[in-house]
Amino acid sequence: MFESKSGIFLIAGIGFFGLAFLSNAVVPAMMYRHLPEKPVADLVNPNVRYQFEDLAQRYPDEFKAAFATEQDPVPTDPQEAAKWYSTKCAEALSMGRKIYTGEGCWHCHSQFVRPVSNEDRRYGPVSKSWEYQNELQRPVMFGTRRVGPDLSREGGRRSSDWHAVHFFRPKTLSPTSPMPEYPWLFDGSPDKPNKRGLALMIYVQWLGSWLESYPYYEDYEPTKIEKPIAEAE
Amino acid sequence: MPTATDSPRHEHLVIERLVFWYFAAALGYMLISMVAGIIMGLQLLSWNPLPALEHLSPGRWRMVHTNAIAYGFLANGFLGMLHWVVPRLSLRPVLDKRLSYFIFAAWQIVVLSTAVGLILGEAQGLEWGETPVWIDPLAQVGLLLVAFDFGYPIIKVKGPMYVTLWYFLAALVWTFLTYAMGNFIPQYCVSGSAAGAVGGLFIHDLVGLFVTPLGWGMMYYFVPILLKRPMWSHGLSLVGFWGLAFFYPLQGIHHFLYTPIPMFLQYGAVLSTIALEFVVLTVIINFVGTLRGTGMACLSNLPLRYFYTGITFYFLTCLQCALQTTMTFQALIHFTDWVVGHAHMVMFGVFSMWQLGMMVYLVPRLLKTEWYSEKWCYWHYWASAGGLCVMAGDLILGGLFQGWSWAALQPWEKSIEVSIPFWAVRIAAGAVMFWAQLLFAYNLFKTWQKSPLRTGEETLPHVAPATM
Amino acid sequence: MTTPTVIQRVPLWTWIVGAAVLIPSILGFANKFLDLMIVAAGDEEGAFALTPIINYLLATAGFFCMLMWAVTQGAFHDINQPSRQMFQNELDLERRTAESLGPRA
Repeated sequence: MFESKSGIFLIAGIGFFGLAFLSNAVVPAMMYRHLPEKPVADLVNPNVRYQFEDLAQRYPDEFKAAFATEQDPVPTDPQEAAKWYSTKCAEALSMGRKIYTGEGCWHCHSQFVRPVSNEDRRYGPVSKSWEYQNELQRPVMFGTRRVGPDLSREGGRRSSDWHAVHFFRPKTLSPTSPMPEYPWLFDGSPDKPNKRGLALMIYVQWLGSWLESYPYYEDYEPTKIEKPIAEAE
Repeated sequence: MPTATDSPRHEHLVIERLVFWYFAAALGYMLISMVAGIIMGLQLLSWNPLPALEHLSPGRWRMVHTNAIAYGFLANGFLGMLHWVVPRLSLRPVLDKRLSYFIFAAWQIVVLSTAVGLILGEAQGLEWGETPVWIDPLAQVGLLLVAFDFGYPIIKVKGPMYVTLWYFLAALVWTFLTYAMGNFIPQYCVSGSAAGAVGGLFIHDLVGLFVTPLGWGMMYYFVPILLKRPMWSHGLSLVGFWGLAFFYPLQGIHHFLYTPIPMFLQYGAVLSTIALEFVVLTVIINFVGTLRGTGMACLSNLPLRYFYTGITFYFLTCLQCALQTTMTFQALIHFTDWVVGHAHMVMFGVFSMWQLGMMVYLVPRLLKTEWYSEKWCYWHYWASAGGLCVMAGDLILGGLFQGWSWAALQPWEKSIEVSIPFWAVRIAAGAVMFWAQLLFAYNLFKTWQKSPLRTGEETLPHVAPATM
Repeated sequence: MTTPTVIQRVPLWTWIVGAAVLIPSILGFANKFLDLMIVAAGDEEGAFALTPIINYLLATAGFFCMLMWAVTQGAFHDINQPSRQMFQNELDLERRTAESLGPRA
């Protein structure tokens, strides 16, 4: 049987592959079955909602063109508006993740903090499994190389203005940064992000926003929904 | 067809034209991949001449770089090689010649549309499987057809098979399963840490169950023929086969050590990686044993020189692998250029060197003429091997500095500053390697130009196997 | 053919290389093994570290039994035959190609 073709086909080809799949893929999947995958809609937490509303205030015209179009404007009723913001935020997160993947961001920025090499001091709490059980981690964005820093605790660390300028031309803010420029996320200048730019910014602001110890939002109070509406009108 | 098996003839077995097409396509993708690598390398030094163009974005071309090597260069080269080796070993032609031509065309479409998809920003979030999701099913069907096309003559062999066919038969199954597992499961079935484990398994199996078995199968075929003697021990080569089959797929998680994947699974992956090192030793011993008593053949014979250079690099990478997969090493070198250096040593130093050596050997046979310039082949060897030594050594060393800089909680800019000299040396080495492949491609073109197949000369001089 | 038994002297460098490889490996292995014993003897989590080792031992043992069984069933009796066969086939293929081209060249 070890010299026959069926032996090679069944034992080596299928058997050993299956064994490895069982131990390396099915076992972890079984171990996390108590952590069901969260859909994008459930990922909109107050922190990222705040950031989304913040974008609406910082870039009112661009925001309107991208998300609050003629057909689908911000509802005037505060309750409806709150729902609207959450829906649009979820939509922006999905789109942001797609751009993050498509631009290959994850090949230079990892998304997990290890318990070694002083990483918890540099980035924040060590990554836990539950953080990855959601639709925006499908496929998971662990990453394998850090040319730039880890981003799994990036959200809220810097303002969206900072990110806009940084995406447009990273060298403006970090002179030695080898990060490529992404002018196609903007309409000509960093104060005019297009839909893709806004989506990517909200995705980056989402990273780590689920943590209790979201470090740079200690003084954050949930904004009253009327405020952005009043400003938008 | 009893006549075909009674006295099979080479020209009935091998579709030489197709082999040559595969090689030409492979070299084309190699050049594309290297251009992509150079774009990314220049970006790291802030020397990118065209930084603000969406379709030349280094982030996107970095994915073209890795995918063009895996699916463009290596896969095409291997398919060409399979068309030569499988029929000659099994003494039967492939399942269907029309199917073979169809696979050639289909595979080029798959690779080209992958490249276009990546450049348009449609990547899938899976390392080395960035192939846009709408191409995956097509690629999957292509791999199934490949398995049928080459599996048929292998299955028809009677009695115990030569080890090369063992590797090929298993590789045909594994490649299909690996591609399916990696591209569909993390996308549609599981998420989170478990998907990370599948992703690790995919990167790993792509090297271990697609590239490695085909590569070693190729070595077990060409090395004895070039040395004009059978392998030192066929039995030992089977130990290598079963060892690889058992231990290699169990290691996927070692790419994601210290992630939230359960620790005991991480330990398991580390353990089997170290176990595989012993299996690799048996293979190396076998190939060195085969050399015994052949004098300097492995140096004086040019294709053999490529092969044994690759085997040496293979030993080095596996040794490095057994070390770097330990938790102690990972703490320092994970996420650094060390890993990038390691990957280049495997993909270029081992498998690309083998394929290029095989092309050096086969092209005169396919084109029925000597190389246009044998001297250029030597230049190609030295520039490729030398460039790679510098690049891999440089990146591995640079990775250590990056790792120490991070662990010491230096500001991030320091780790960039520290990397700049290493990145500069890397781009220089990369340029030398790129020049070598350009020279090789030009040499191939000139050889094709003077080929009697093209000029239509009546006599097709037979190129004896021992001319180089 | 009787060959006089000559006691071959092992060159000195073989000993040096052997020692250079073996001593660190033995020390490293012993050290890690001790580590493992300590981890395994520790808390409940530690015992988990033993699972992959036991799994591998079990899988390898099963595989080994199958291998032994295959040997008793007659496999691997002439293990180098395919290698010789392959070599002969190659020579035949080359010869036939040369013959077909020979008269014309």
